[in-house]
Amino acid sequence: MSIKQIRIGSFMRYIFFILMLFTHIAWAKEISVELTVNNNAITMEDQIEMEIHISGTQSAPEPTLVGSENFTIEGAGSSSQIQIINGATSVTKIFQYVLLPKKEGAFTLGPAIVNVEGKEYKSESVIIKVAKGATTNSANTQGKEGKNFFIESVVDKSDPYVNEQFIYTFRLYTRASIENASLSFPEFKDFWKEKIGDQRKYEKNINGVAWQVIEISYLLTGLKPGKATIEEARLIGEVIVEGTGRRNRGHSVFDQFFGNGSPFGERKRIQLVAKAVTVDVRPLPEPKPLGYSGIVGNFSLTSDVDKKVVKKGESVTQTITLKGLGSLDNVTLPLIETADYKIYDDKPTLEKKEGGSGVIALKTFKRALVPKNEGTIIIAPIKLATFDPASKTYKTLETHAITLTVEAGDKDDIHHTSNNGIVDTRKNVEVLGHDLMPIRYGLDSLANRTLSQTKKTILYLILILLPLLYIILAIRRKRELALMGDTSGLSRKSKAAKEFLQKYKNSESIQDASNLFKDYLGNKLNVDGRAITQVDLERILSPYKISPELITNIKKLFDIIEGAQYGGGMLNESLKKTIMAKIKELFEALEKEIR
Amino acid sequence: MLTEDAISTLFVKANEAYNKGEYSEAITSYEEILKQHNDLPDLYFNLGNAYMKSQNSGKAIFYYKKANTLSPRDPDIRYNLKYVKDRMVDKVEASTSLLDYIPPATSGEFLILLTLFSIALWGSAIINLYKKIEIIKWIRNSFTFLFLMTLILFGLSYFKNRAFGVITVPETNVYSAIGKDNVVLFTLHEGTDFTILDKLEQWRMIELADGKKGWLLNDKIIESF
Repeated sequence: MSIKQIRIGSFMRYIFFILMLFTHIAWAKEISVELTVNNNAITMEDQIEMEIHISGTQSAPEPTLVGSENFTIEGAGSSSQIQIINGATSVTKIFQYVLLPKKEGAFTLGPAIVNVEGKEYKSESVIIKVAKGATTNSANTQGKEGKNFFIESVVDKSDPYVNEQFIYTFRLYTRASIENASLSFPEFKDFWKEKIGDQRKYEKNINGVAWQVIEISYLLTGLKPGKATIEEARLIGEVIVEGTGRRNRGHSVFDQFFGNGSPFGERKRIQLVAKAVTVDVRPLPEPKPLGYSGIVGNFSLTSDVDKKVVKKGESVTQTITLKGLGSLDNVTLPLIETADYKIYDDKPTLEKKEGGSGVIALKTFKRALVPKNEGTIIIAPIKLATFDPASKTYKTLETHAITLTVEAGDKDDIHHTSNNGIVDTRKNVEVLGHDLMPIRYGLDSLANRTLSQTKKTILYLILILLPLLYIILAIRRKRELALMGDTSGLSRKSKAAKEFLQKYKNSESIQDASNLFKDYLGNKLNVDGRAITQVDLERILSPYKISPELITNIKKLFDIIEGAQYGGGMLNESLKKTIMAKIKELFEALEKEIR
Repeated sequence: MLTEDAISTLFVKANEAYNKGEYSEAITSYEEILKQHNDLPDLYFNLGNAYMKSQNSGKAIFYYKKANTLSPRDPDIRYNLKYVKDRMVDKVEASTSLLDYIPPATSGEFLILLTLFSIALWGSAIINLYKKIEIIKWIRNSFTFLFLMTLILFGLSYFKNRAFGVITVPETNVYSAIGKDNVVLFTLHEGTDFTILDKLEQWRMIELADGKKGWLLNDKIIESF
């Protein structure tokens, strides 16, 4: 799609360039900037349509706008106009914006500044008055006539005590689709906050009108006494103006609350603001009871054990449950040890459930109690001082005392439980906060560099040159081997004598020596030595300048050997020695004569 | 052009400014060094911290990512990057890709490894030209395998370190095509990072880790390369 647009754009520029050749370039020297708004007296719920016209140039960049910090500015596109009147061309580039006010008051908007070829051009400024809108933080003003949407933010308690939980609820009421919605929640400064569940969607009938409601709730706790403000909540989105296009059927606000919308119909930017809510956080009354835990709410405290009869040395698990409406995140319970038992605390668990009037917290503490003495022992009750905001009084919660019967245990039991008297009382390290890892101070940080470009170039060269080197050497080696292949006969000849001498020493029989001599002759003359017979000798040796006497001697030797081999004649030891010596002698003679 | 001594002095000065909470001064000094040395992971790390401390999480993420590219096994860099990302508005669920399986190493480290394997491979191949020894053949084949594997990783590492950007404004729209009159596909918030696929004048085509694509203006982002 973009490539097509670019091509059309290039074509249009080309046409424009051709037109330029036939018209006067009158506009190039007369650049002016004009800022216009459709309304300069609005309420917090309204929007302003602003246009910045830059005349005399088509290549103007997007202008900068002074005084824009008081508005949320959304670009609404740009366009160009070219007019040719009596041969004179004028061109105007128009940037369009939609402005939504951030706060009430009178604000100067502009000038719009544009920089063309190093020179700045400015527009006039306009004054915008933003009056208090019909925003609401209460459901009492719901359902304004003619409105299809409104938002509200409410708290279930406007004067909570410090550490007392209360619920902040944001609701969006709609009767039509809002698209590309963006919701800005307050920062909840001075409060500890926790989101309650997912957003809820339901329908509500107000004065006979059915509204779709989206509700998001936060659990808040005031951290210090005094008046604290929960800032405005804002919702910015787009609505389709009725009658300007196809209706976006089947895409309700629920489907698209934070998604994308239909591309059909004219859109209007809207901003909905829910007023800031002021909460008066009350201090806790004085005097506070001794050992007050800091808990605010209505709670119950219970305690139980998994068994009431136990052997000495065995452990009993005590479960203490603290439950009620309020925050229990930071609550701990005291460890009360007596001479009768030791206590080993476990990590408590915390569950939160949404109840009808807030969030019900359930904190469970588990402890292992190990009796030290036999007999009846009493597990002391646990006391916890809390503040109940309903009755505005401090209360002390107390568990019942539990009686345990401790029987005599055998030594092994004691041994297992007490682990040789050493009990692991270590606790997991609790993480209290998170922050960035610190910066690097050492100057060696300046030496901790990655591979430089020069080094990379060297490595690349090595990577390229090594295979080249291999190719060169491989070609060279191939040539060498080819050359060696041509002289294989020569090689065979040169190896003939060497092989004969190496193996002759080890030959044990006339047969071995004879074969060795034939192999030698074969290698020397480059023929199959074992196939040589007495008859072949003259023909094979004739091309070489060998004396007839030597040929005759070789023939004789072959005669004797073949006679012994095939004639069945017996060879005595002295004849064997003579033949062996003769072979050696003939070998030496041949070595001299065959070159 | 600063001398090495001047750079050291500037680095110490920047760290002192950071300690005093004068983060903008620290940023100015770090960026001055950066003009001359853009290959120092620790410098990018410090710059990321300074930007984070001055509530500029978009640029902080950008510089942590730069540091992570140059020093991918540094646990502090990875920790701070995750620390900042966990606090961002946009949650982008990254889809698993082949690039996730690349060992954490820089392209320079892959290049060194590739060169070492190349020397072993071609060296054994050259020896094998003259001496047909079985173990040399085995060495040659093994290093050929290692060389090819490293070559693939080296290529993928370049692909992994493609141009990226981070949103530096509180909120910006991503359009279906170039021009603000096109359909707004989705809205991104400060600190969201993405890969840059294409550039056209002041517009950038981006892709999020979950595969969403669109065009946005480059004055809303900080981009690499």
